[in-house]
Parts: sequence; structure tokens; C-alpha cells
Amino acid sequence: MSQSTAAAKAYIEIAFSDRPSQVVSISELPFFIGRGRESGNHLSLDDMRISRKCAAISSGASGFFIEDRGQRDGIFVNGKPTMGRTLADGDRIRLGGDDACQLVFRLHSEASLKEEGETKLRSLLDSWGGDSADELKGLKLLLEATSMLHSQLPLESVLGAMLDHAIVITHADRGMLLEHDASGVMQVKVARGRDGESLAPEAMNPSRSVLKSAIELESAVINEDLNLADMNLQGAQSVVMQLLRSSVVIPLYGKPRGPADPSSEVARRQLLGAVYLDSRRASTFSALDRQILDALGAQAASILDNSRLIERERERQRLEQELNIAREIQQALVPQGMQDFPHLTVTGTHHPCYEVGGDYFDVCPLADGRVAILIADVAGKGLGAALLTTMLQGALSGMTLGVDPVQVFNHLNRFLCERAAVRRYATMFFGLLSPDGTLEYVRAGHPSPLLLRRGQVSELYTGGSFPVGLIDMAKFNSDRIQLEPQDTLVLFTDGVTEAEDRDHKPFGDERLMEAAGRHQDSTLGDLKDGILAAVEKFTDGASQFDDITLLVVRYRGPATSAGLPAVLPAVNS
Amino acid sequence: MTISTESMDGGITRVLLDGRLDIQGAAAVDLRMNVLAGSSKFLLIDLSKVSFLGSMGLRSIIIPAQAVSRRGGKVALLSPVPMVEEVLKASKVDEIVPIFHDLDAAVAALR
Repeated sequence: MSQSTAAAKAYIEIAFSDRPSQVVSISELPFFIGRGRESGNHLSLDDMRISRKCAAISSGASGFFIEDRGQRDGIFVNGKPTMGRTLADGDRIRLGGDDACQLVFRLHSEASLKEEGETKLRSLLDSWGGDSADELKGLKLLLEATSMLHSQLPLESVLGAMLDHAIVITHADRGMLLEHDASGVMQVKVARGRDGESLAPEAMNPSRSVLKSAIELESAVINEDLNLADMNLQGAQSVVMQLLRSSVVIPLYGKPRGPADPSSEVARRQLLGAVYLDSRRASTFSALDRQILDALGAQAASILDNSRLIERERERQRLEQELNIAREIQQALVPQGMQDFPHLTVTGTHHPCYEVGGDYFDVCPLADGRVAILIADVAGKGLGAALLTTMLQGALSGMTLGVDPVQVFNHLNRFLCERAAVRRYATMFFGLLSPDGTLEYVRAGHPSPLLLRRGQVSELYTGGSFPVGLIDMAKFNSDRIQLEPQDTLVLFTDGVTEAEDRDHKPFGDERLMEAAGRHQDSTLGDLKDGILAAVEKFTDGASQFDDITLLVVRYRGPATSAGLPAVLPAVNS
Repeated sequence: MTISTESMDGGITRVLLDGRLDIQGAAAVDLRMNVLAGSSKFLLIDLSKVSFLGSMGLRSIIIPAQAVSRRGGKVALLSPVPMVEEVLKASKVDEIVPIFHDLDAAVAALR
């Protein structure tokens, strides 16, 4: 059939006596030899003794064939002048009258390495007629199809190519690939005709009875003259309808994966699907060798199996990409490069335990000079929690426009309780720090921030408070405390105090207070790092199972409009 | 995480939770808890065998408890270990669902 049939299996040795020898594989058929590339030569011999159009090698009925295309003084094979003849391995081709210009025709060395196998295959293939080289090419292309899977080609086209090869090998009219659908019924996934055209899977109507028998036998089944075959005619309606005479069904099995189940003596092969080939001609498949069908089945199964693996891998990669986008968005929403304000300095850190987290903090100035400070911990982890933090951030940003925080908390609580299917709630601490040191805050089930004041560490509040979104009747209110210059607040989520060591002992409130106290005279950055280091030392490599978030705020004292603390003496009084 | 129930006198259903009520624990009991909330009028949730209560676990107790209360029923929590009681109190849940350390007192409160 195709011109490129045996192309890659032969090569030419350039054996000119007056130039270095060279080996050129016959990459394409017909293969043109001559001087210069511009005249379409595949082998260009830059030698004035060679005519522009010298010779051509093509595939003939009995193998490779060389013909003279106008070489001056003609061409000679093994010393005999010829206009055209079949080539054999080792034939010496003289171009023109000069003995120096000789080529040697060689069959591909790879082919000779596999000679034994190919001879066997050829004899199998010869038994069902056709050009053996064609069929070998079919098997070769099947192998190529496997490697195609690793390209970015759509899987459907790889599976389609696999069917094309199966059609070529078996001389079928149509080929289809069937797979189980969700309810376990075999459905046609891909279908092709003998000219490589795609056929509509829903129009295929393969014989269910033939399929069934192949799956029951767990082996390829050839049915010749279907209407005469030993089968229930009613069950074979589709066969009669389409006037199909013969068919081949090859069930496809995957390799058993994972540890073998010790309770089952025989590892059950997983049925992946089936290749179904049919023909309107009688006896199309009668000469098909079982070994060929088994080889075809093994190839198709491996392609299908690999394609499913790759499909899952691509899906996993896609999800990972989505998650990366979510993480990028979340990181972009967290305040970037914590800004200091005239009356306060601030720093924070967020270590989600998964790609994205349910903890969140924010610091933003209000128009009236106050600065809003927020830390929140959404119940649960990962993407579900992260989605809610984003929503909270949007809702809470309204507070910077001057909306009463208590109202916002009450509203958020109702909003989440009414949407119970969200299955998430949050603990939060929200504070508004005025330039004069007044801290107005709303708490929602969140652990009390630590207050570091003149060497003492205390909690801002004790007792409980309702989280946001858990209890529909919850009401929120605000409290107030006066901060002194250098007072420092350590806001944290329970991922800090509940960080566990290898024995599942939690870091706990006391260790946190102790670590904070030890670093309270340090810069905010050192205080934050000191606490994180204490947690890290305590957990000693035990895996983190919750997000860890810290926000540290230090009140500098009342600020002037110039942004300098008012306690500094004026230069010019 | 396991969940088992026992019918007591006075139409009280006693629910015994056993294990860590973390994210996985919560997922394991959520459905049963919701079914119980839909079918019980007086629910006694025995927390004595719960060694850890996470935020999702808290939700697994409170959502069903609120559902029972809304239908005019009553819920009580029994014998949480200190860590669990601390979590309940931090969220002020004890104001919605009373905590008892004595079975008789809990049963009396449900009647």
C-alpha cells in the first residue's frame, strides 16, 4: 500500500573511492538520488559526475526497486547495466561510467537484529496474505501509537490511530473501541472506517452477542459469516441489519495494579474494553492468526491502559494548576509588604498547611486615621476554607468604609447561618486602633490576642464568644481598651497553640505566652520570628496539621500629622 | 471515630461519641448526627470519650443541637474532658447547649 512502507528499513552506503564513505537511510519512498537538493533529491551527491536526476529507489511488489532517471552513461547493479531492477541486500550500484562512483544497498541493521522475530512474524502474516512489509509496518505503527500517547495529542486521536492500524492489519471495513460506561455497559468510544475516517460512535451498533461471547471467553473471538454462526438470531439482529458477514472481537485487559489481593488466588485481570472489527466480506478474518490477534489485543490494551493513566495525570495536573491559581489569588489578597502607620507598626505571617488555607489576616487604614486589624480562622482546611476567607475579606472590607463592625458581624453571622450548606464558620478578632491608643474590638470565638505591656504578658479578654456563622441567634458587641505606647498585641490562630509535637502534645497557651514574653522587647520582626522558632523547635519536625498565622501589632503612641510620635519634642518651640 | 446510641427513659436518646472529633471525625459522624437531630426530641450527647474537639467537630455537635432546639426539643452535653470543654466554652456554645458532668443532672435538665 503506502509508498513509505519499508522506508526506514533500508539504507544506502556511499562507497565512492575518492570521498569519505557515508551512510544514508532511505527515509522516504520513492527515494531520489542526484546532484543538488533543488531537483528534489533525497540523497544529494555533490559531484559533477552525477546527473541532477540520477536514479530513484521505490518499493515494488517484491521489495526495493531501483530505476534510472537519466544518469549520464546509465546505472549498473553488480556490474550489469540496468534501467530498473529489484535490489537485494549488498547490491553494488555504480552510477555512470566511473568505477569510483558506487553505492551499496543495505537492509537496515535493526531489521537484521530482529531478523529472527520478523521471519516468524512474516510467516504468520504470510499465512493470511497481503504484503508482509505492510503488516510489519502496522505493528510498528502500533508501537509508535504508544509513544504518541506521551505527546500532547488528544487521546481520542491516539486511540483512533490505534484502530486504523488494527483495520490495516486485519483488513477489516470498520474498527471500534468499546469501553464500559458508568453503568457497566460497553459503549463505542471511537470508531473508524478503513480509510482512516472517523465514524459516529452512536451509529455503530456492534453485535452485543459477539461482544458477550468474547468477554465470557476472555479471549479474542473471530466470527465468520455471522448470519450462519452458532448464535441466537434474535440476539444477532444488529448483525443482520447491517449485513455484516464477519467480525473480530478482542477483549482488552489491563495489567493488575497495586499489591495483589492475598485472598484471591488468581490475580483478576481488569477488563478495560474491547476492540471490535467487522467486515461486509465473508471470510475476511478466517486466516487471522490467534497470535496476531493476541499481539494486537496486548498492544491495544496497553495503549488504552496508558491513555487512561495519562488522562488521569492530565486531570491531576489541571487540578493542581487550579489550586495554584487559588493560592496565587489568596496570597495576593493578604496584605503585601506590611505597611507601618504613624501610630503603629505591624507584621504578620501566614503558613497554610495545604496549598491554600483557612486563616487570614488583614490590616488597613480607615479614612478617619484609625487602622483596622483583623485575624480570622475558618473552620476546616484547604480550598473549602480558603473560598470562605475570600468571601469574609470582601464583606469585612466594607468596614473600612465606615460601617459599624458589630453590624457587619451580625450580618455575616446571619448570612452564613442561612446558608448552612456552606458548612463553614469562622472565628475572628477585629480591632480598630485609633491614633490616641483606643482599641475598639469585636471578638467572635477567637482566642484572645496577647497583650505585652511593660514586661507582662496577659490576655486581652477571657471567656468565650460566638464564632461567626455557627449559631443563628448569636449577637455580637464591641469592647474597648486603652493601649499605652509600646504596648504590643500578638494575634494568632489556634494553629499556633495547637501545633503538636511528635507525641501529639500541643504547644499550648503557656508556651506561647512564654515565647512572646521572652521577645517582647525585640523588634516586631524578631518577636514574630521568635514565636515561630519556638513553635518549630517544639514540634521538632512533626507534620503541621493546621494553618499557622501570626499578626503582631505595636502601638507607638499618638502621632502628629507629620507622622512622628507626638512625644518627641518639637524642634522649634 | 465511632457513634452509638441508646434509648433512655423519658424519650431521651443518648449519643455516645468516641474518638477524635477532628475534620475526619466530623465527616464520619455528621450524617448520623443529622439523622438523630431529625428524629429525637431529647438528645443527650455524651462527650466523655471524645479526646479532641476541632472546629469542624464543634460544628457536628452544634448544628444538630440547634435543629433539635428549633423544633422545641432539648439537648445537653455530658462530661466533656477539659480540652473539649475549653473549646465549647471558647465558642460560648455552653450558653446554647448546657454542659453537665453528672448524668442525673443532665437527664433532669432534659425532662
